[in-house]
Amino acid sequence: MAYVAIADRDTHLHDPQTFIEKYIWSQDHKVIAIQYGSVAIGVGLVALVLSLLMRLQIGFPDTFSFITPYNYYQFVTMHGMIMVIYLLTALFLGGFGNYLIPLMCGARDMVFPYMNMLSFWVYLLSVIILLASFFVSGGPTGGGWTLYPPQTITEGSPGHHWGILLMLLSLAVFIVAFTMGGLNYVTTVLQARCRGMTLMRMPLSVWGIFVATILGLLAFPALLVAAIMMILDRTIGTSFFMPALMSLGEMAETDGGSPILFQHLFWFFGHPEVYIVALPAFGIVSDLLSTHARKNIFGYRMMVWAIVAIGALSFIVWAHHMYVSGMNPYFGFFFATTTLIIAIPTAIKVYNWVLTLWRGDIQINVPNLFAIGFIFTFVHGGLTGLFLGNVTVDLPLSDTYFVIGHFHMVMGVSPVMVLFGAIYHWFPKITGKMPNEVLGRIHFWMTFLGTYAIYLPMHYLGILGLPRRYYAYGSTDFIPESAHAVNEAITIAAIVVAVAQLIFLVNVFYSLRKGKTAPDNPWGATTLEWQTPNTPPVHGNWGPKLPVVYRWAYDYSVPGEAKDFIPQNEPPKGHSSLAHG
Amino acid sequence: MLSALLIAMLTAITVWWLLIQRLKDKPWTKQGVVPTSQESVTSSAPKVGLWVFLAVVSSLFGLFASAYMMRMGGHGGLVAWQPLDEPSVLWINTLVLVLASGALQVARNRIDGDDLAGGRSYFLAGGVLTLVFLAGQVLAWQQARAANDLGPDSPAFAFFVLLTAVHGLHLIGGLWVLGRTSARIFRAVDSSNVVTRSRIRLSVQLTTTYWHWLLLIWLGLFALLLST
Amino acid sequence: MVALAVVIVLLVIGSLIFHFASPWYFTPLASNWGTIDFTVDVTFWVCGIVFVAVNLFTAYCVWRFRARPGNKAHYEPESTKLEVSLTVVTAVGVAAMLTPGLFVWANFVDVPEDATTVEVVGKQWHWSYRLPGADGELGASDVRHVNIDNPLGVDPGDPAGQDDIIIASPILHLAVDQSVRMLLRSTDVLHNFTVPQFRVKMDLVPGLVTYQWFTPTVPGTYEILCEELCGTGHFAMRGKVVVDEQAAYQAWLANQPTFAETQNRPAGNPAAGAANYAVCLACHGAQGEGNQQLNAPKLAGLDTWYIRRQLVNYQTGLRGTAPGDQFGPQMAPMSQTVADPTTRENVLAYIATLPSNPPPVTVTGGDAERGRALYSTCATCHGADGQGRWATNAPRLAGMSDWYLERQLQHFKEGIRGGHPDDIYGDQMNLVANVLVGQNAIKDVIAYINTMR
Repeated sequence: MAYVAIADRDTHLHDPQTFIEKYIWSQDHKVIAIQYGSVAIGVGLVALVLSLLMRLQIGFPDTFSFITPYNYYQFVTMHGMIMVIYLLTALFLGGFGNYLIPLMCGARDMVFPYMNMLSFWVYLLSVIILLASFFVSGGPTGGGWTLYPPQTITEGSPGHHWGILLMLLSLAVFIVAFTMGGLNYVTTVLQARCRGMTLMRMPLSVWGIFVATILGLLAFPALLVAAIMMILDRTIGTSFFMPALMSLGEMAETDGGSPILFQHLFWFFGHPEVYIVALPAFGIVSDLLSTHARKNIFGYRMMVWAIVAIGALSFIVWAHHMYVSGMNPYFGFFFATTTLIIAIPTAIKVYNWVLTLWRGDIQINVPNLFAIGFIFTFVHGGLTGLFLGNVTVDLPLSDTYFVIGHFHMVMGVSPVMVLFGAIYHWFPKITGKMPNEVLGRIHFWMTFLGTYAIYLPMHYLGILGLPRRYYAYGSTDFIPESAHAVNEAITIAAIVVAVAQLIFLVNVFYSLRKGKTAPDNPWGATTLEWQTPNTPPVHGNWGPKLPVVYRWAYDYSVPGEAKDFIPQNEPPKGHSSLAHG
Repeated sequence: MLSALLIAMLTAITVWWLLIQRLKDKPWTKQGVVPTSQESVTSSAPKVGLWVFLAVVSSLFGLFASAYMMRMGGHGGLVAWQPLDEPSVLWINTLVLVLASGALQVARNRIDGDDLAGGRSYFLAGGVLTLVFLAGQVLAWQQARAANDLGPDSPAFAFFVLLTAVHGLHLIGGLWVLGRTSARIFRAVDSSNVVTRSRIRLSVQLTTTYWHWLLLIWLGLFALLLST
Repeated sequence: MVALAVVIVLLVIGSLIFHFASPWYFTPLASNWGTIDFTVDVTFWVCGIVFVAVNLFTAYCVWRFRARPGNKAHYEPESTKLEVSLTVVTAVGVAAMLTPGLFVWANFVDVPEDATTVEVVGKQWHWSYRLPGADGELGASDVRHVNIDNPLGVDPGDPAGQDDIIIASPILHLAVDQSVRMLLRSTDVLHNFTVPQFRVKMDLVPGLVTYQWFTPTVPGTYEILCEELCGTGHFAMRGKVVVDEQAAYQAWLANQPTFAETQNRPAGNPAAGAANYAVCLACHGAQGEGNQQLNAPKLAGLDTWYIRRQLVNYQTGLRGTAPGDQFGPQMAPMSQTVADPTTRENVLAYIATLPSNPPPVTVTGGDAERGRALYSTCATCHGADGQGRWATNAPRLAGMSDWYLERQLQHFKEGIRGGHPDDIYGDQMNLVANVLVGQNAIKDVIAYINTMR
């Protein structure tokens, strides 16, 4: 069969010879995943430090001489951009997408391994360009992560000269990297699934990553278009986004450009971006909950449909970020309606997660703690989204700390809970070692409780009217002294959460060296990645023969079976696997 | 709004495609090997990859086009849009690009029929015509600039250059692949290695598809420019 | 898992307690937009119920179905009936929130007929306003007309604009119970006009005129905040809305100049001003060079608009009245000698003729290199060369009396200067001077300013 011939050719091609081929210029999706993950977490730590600096200023204003308004806005901007793009997008898709798609689909690797390798190196280049902006004259851009013109490229903003150029360049390079990776993820899911792996047998992790990648491939071009046009505005003086304006007393030579056009482009990318991060999290957490509750995911079909529906709807809600932007206010009716409609498939997902726990056999372990913690944080963040998505409620709350609280709960804390759950869950497979359970639990409790202590009060500060992106509040009549005390408390909670992340790093390094050797399938999971002949899986993943899939990914606690799980590649009773070999 | 339409269309296609893949299956009801269409089609992964890439490219141009229309419409605020007189050389350029696409199609047909020697000159001709097209586009910039007396702060001119430049960059990327493939054709023309020949066939197919698509995009851009 | 279930229950209870007991909630409403608060309340109830229900159910499941020996999970792939009914319930909840939202928005989009018009003009870190004059309409405007005497860029050639009332300061008065249509305009970057007590907000977009409307219902003074990031000074872009009873409003309005009046200010006569300067000369010196012994700063080289504003501030009690201000009260009565606008303009014209020579350095012990880093914040408004900038209302610093700068920075930090509620420019400096943290920071930054003479 042609099928076998191709498989054999692949095994042969996938034999790396030297250390460098194996670990540096690797074309193995698992190594690339680890490379992506390490760089993303590394640059995420930079963003974490930036957030602490911001919190120190807000909690204890007039205390630290090294945090000026100029720096503060740079910290705000870089923190946001790094977390959203260079950490979350890269880690979910470049990291987990790379690791899980071939293994869960029963493939030997991505379909274009060379391009996959390039994707990582180009991503690394984008990170280096981004970090380089800390060292250029004027420093990184301080225009806010939304990079709204005209202020990002006029004199009154930090880094309007070089910082913004490097930022835009870095984004463009990132988009190239993402496209190379994304082509791989989509094509691999479509073309390289093993025998028997129908789409409706795929684990939800793959579904989430797959749909998120499609969103990314279609949405990132909007950011690229915006970036190219802003680079031209900044360098050769075109007027795409620049109207006639007087910057600090100097008349600019631009005329007729539209700042709102930039916002449309930005959010046409920016809103799907939320789901580029959220959908993989939705998928992965479904698998975590199912595995650790020893129960099939409730309503698998509905979960798949919801992922597809959310993905499709996410392209027609973008302007809910712009209700008070000065765009035609009549758009508000349309976008408020679409935005609230998207809540329905999202709510169904939440119900189904909880119903998966219902009558389950819920195991006590770190991945499951994070997964259940995610349900709580996501319910909170999702519901506050209904406030901001509803155009009228957005009026008083837009641009306040309510927004900060909301989006950190929904696309900061929640996806990060899933990321940690996923790292603890797959750590045994990735490294061959078990993570330390005690450190993991300490990490969970500090993160879960600490982040809620940070973000719950922020919502109320926002309702009170505290605007976001303020370096200092000074003496503002409607802000009581107690609100400043809350800000101090939030800063202390933020420091606690940051320390918790150090515990996580300690756990990773400790477990790598001293952790117990992991069995092939420590959690008793059904999906293919746990059925590899080696742990960690070797290059090529499957030994001489590709797996064959006989069932869906959620055969847990099937009545009448002795084991409480049946791997996807286990043939039905009375079925000879050789017959189909 | 055009981009929204485009995306809606792409999404609709995707959704439709997913639906015909029996998304209504209740996967827990059936065990055993369900025959999937994926088993013997691994070799078409590059084709699928190319189409995914073309979707990305289309999204990029769709967004450029909608930015163009939004900038032209009410978004410019108080300043009226000054349209550009498109240089007539664009008509010739368009014809050249059509010819390039046609030449590649002939090359593809011959090489599909295992006639490398007969296809290679058409393949090269496609590349040369594309170079002519690119040179013509540069000429068009100069003509547009001269005829309209506009600087970089004229949004119509800036968009004209930007749209044609981004399209040209995509063709240049394509030319690099075309060049490599040509070299392989010339090396392999006397070889009887089946694998090499099938790989060349695939490369030529992909290149031709890419050219046709970029031709379509150019026709779309040209229509957009002419209509404004 | 028991612990997790308990914690989730505690978090739900804690959130509810926090919601009902926390003192941090909406500021008291001062506009007609009670309907917005109502929509928020509806949303809180719907979302609150879902929040409590889903999380308590999760906690119950986590506790009830925790792994125990002999347990086996139930096998149930899906339940269409349950999922459909949950979908319907969710859709009903969503509709309950969306419907009032759309109705209120329709109201917000549609400005009532009887609303008066106020134009708000934002620029980097300053608010100003324009009201239609007797003809009831605003004249044309364009950013190209903006200059030091025409900060709003009103078209001087448009007859409709001549009687427009110009409010160049960031303090706006409105009449109570009178609906206002705010036309929003920016001359540089995005800004956002927000008064939390009014609930509504809208961005100012350069190149466009956007709008919002509301009816102030409670007399009082409310702070305006810029809520769209607009550069380094964003947090210091403040203003005030004073909601007056009708009579007080009319009295205020009568005192505001029309555009024509602002354009036809008689130029000062330096020769006439020389005589009036005699009062100033006693302390500030014949050449306006300043005198440290008498605590009189150098005047020569200062921008006319800046001296004018300070004179007016002294005259109206915005400056020189704060407790703890030793020297201001000396200046306050002196300023009254030039209270008459013509006299004032003459003196200002005379001061403008005085030669500006750098005074001797008197502040020592600062580290200019550290000061350079600190000055980056100052440079945002005062310019990298310390020459001052009218566009940001920032006076010249380079080559001025350093001992005076030191004292003023100290006073700004302590709120002795700029603490008056109506002194918005001083308030900006209060916010920014706090960047100078630590014993020597002021001396350092002055050491750097002294290098720019």
